Parts: sequence; structure tokens; C-alpha cells
Amino acid sequence: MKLALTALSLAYFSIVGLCRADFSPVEYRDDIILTPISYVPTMIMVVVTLLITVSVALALTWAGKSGQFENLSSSAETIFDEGEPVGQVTDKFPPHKPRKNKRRLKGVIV
Amino acid sequence: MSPISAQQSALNPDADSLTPAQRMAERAAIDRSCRTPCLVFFGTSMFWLMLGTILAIIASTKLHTPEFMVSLPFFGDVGLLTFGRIRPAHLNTVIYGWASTAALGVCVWLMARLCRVQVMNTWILVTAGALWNLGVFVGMLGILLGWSTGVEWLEMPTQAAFILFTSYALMSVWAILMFANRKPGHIFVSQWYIFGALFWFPWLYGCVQILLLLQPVEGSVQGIINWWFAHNVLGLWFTPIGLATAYYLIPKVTGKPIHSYYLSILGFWSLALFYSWNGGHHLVNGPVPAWIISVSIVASAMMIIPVVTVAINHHLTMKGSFHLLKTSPTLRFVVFGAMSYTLASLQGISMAFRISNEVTHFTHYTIGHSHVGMYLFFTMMMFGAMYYIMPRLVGWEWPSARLIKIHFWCTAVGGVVMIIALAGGGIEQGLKLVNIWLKEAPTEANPSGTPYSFMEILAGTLPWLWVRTMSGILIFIGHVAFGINFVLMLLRRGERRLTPTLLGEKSSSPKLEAVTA
Repeated sequence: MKLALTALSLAYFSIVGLCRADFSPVEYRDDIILTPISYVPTMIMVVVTLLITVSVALALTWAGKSGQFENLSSSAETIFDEGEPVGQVTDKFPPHKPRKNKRRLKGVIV
Repeated sequence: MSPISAQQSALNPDADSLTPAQRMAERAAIDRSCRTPCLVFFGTSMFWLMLGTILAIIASTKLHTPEFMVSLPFFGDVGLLTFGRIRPAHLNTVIYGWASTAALGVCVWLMARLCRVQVMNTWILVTAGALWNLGVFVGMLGILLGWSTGVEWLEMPTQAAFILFTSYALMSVWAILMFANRKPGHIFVSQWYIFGALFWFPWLYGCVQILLLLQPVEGSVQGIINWWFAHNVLGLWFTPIGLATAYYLIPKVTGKPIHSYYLSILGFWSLALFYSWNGGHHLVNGPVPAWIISVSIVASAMMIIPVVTVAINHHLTMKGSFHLLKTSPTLRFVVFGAMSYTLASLQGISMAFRISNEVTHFTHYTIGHSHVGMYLFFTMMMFGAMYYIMPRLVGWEWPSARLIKIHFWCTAVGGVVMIIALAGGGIEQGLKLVNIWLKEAPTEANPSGTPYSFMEILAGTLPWLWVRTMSGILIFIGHVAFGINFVLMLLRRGERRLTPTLLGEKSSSPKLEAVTA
């Protein structure tokens, strides 16, 4: 049913867009025929934007039905586990190499 | 049962009752499965980053010193060195060569981690990576040889676009397969962002290729479609991946869950609903239907919802952990990127309104805004992600902490200076162009005042452009430091440490080493 409604609404916008576009050439002067700019491409762009929006709406509906929005507070912890639990910092700079004190070493050798 | 599934089943007999060692082994196996495709994407993105930065410096220098690199020794004047080719070559190299390639690598790793399955169908990813780089190479060559389409952000010839689209379609197919085979459980917010990016961008790219290059539309409609794409490529491709990275890495590095998971979900869905209506605000006062511009301005204003939710969430998650910025290279870059996202978005919203757009558009201010978004936000985010991911892929730590620090400070300072220069120069340029900043104030004899001539306005931007070039050189030094560290890491230079730091102390446990060996 939802898909049918979505398809119908998309078809409606496409048809409205195509019907409103003016393809007929308009004569401004005898020697020059100017073709007015067609807004069909703009309508295609609007339809694609609508498709993106509709896909978002469908995904949102699916997410709601499949329980993705339940227990949101505990969902934030799903990236943690027993191996890398909450509270464990997982990134540090590598330590600087211990510098050899060449001068002192030379002195010892000398 | 496929070998991978069998391996996973053996590794993960009961997902709910795994011991810490088993969990770590599972994670290590997932990381290892990402190694080949991720290294293909990261390695090639490094090459494009270097090339793109060199092209940027050449283009930037030409703006204030036009005689710079006009000809080559023995070759004389060379067309490919003209600003009109170098500048789009830089743009396309960093957008498609560096940023998108690095983003694809990060997507692969994050998808595998969040789906909690090893990467399947590696050949799809490697093929997609090879095709993507081939597409960028063909496109770059086309631009430099003068076959640019002339459409901003889509200058690559159609042949290159076809290769890129095929590669991208392969990536999307792979993402769908991974998503379908994910382990049951909650879909983390980063996954929503990544899946959205991989799903929407082919639509956007394919649609625009048809309308602008295959069956080109006429007149001002080109401008509408061009800016719709140029803006949405940021909002529906780079932004979701950047935010997915931040939403995973900030909690993971600090060891703290996201402050408000509810806000993160709200941020994603509001971005998804509002962003695709953006783009038309670049055509304020242009010869296009006013409703397109108005819809776009409204959508830009609505973007305040996802931006504020993300900003609040990131800040409150970091609250109490800011001291970790001193000790974690990943966090430094990622938090810097997250703060820049807020700045870029609020700046973008403010620029969408007609009153500000009339001053700032068609000036260096807009270029500065692009760099806040693409460099300070997205590129820094990718650097942070690579600092986290690479050691886990190759089982070796970054060889030099000093090079990481040089990388951070050069890119951060260089980036900020560049933005200040472009914003300052752009505002001066804009105010003079619309005759708000006058050469001589109005007097009784001259009630409208004396405006600056175009050449005077141009000359006024020169100091700002010099500063921009200097900042670009600083950024390049940072990139070289990163490149050296990257290559040294691949060559396994440096000492193997008994207690790895980047990998977490626990990873040196004998159990894990036995599994990962």
C-alpha cells in the first residue's frame, strides 16, 4: 500500500512536471526562433530529491518497526564489549624512542 | 557454508557469551580481513593527497604571481600549466582522489566492524578500488589535457565519470551484501550514516551526469543542477562519512558511550530529510525561479537541527576527556574535525541567507568555506581515522610520534590561517564589490561616494592570497610528515614494542597473539 502511494505520488509529480514544461518554440522575431528553457530537467532533479526523501521515510519506518529506536540509552554501548569495555582508552601516541646520550657514551669510550 | 562463515562460526560460537579474549580475537580477525582493500584505498589516497596539495600550491601561487610556472624548460609554454587547468585538477584530485578514496577505505573498515563480520567478497572492493583510481587518473589526465567539461566539481570527462560510477556501484553492492549479512542486533548510528552515503551518492552522481553531460540541459538550469550536485556531494557523501567516523571514534577512543544516543539518531534523520534540498542558495539573485532559491534557503536554515545535535553530542561526550587530546593522535584530529564541522555548518547556514550571500558569494569567502568543510572537517577526520585504523590493519604502530605531531600542528595551523586569509580577503572583496566599502565616503558633492575599481579590488586581495599560499606550504609540510610516517609504517620500520600503545595494552596478551599470529 505504502509503495503504491509512493509510486503514485512520484508519478503525479513527474506528470505535473512534464505537463507544465513548455516545449513549443516561441517566435520573437521572424529570423530568430528561440526555444524557451525547459524545466523538465529541474523536475527530474526534484523527483530524485523526492525519491531520496521517500527512501529516507521508508528506512525510518522500517527502523521504527524493527525496534531500532528502542532502548536508545543502551544502544550507545553496542560498540563496546568485554574486550574493549566502557572506560578503556584505546588510543595513545607511540612513545618517543629513548635517546642515546652520545656525548656521554663517547666519553665512556674515550 | 562459506569458508568465511565457517571461520566466523568457529571464532564466534556464541555471540552473547564470548570471553574478552574471544572478543578481541574476533575484532582482530575482522580488522585483518579489511587489510587488503583498506590498504588499496589508503595507499592510493595518500598519492592523490600529495599530488593534490602540490597542484593546490601551484594554483594558489598563480593567483598572486601569474607568471609562476607558465612554461617548462625545453618545452616552452605548456597549456596544462595554466590556472584554468591546474585549479580544477587540484579540486578533482583532492575530492575524488584523496577524500573519496580515503572515505571508501574508512567505510570498509567501519562497516566490517559495525556489522561484526569479516569482509566478504574482497574482490569486489579491490576491483572497485582499482576502477576508482583508474577513473581519477583518466579524469585528471583529461582535465590537464584541456578536455574539462567546465562544470564545477564535475570537470572530469564523461569517460572518467563512467568508470567512477561503475566503481561506486560496486561499492554500493558490497555495502548491501555486508549489511544483509550483518550479525543481528542494533544498527549503530555510524552505520546509518555510511549506508546512507553509499546509497544516495550514486543516485545523485548518476542523475547529474545524465542532466549535465550525457543529455545536457540548457541555460540557467545547468546552474541549478550544478549547484545542487556540488552542495549535495558534501552533504550526502562527505558529511555522513565524516560524522560516522566521529560517532564511532570519539566514544571508542575515550571509552565513553555517546552522551545522547537519541540526539545522534535525530541528527542523522534530520540531515537525511533536509540536506537534499540544499544547493539553490548558491544562485541568489541569479536567473532562476525564486522558489528554488527560497526552498534551498529554508532547507539550509533547517540544517541547524542536525548541526546542533551533533555539536552538543560531541561536546558532551568529550566533556571530562579533553585531557586525552594530549595523548591520543586519533582524538586530536577527530575532535578538531568535529569542531570544524560545527563551524563549517553554521558558516554555511549564515551564508545561505540572501543578505549575506550578496556580499560573500563569488568571493574568496566561499572558497574559504569550502576549505573549512573539506579540509578542516573532512580531511582532518580522515587523518584521525587512518591513525586509528592503520595500526590495526598492519599490526604495527606508527613509527614516529614526532611526525604525527608535526602533521597535526602543520595542518591545523596551516588550515586555520588559510581560512582566516580567505575569509578576510573574501569579506573585503565582497564589501567592495557591492559598494558598501567605498574608496571615498559620500560627500555633498559626491553623494554616492567613489567605489573601488575592479582592478583595485583585485589588488586588495593580493596580500590575503600570499598568506594563503604560505599556509598551503605549511599544510604540505604536514602532509609530507604524514606520508613519511605512512610509508615507514608499511615498511615496518621502527621498533616493535612489547607493550603496544596504539593497539591497547590488552592486545599484547598471549591469547590474542596466539589467535592473530
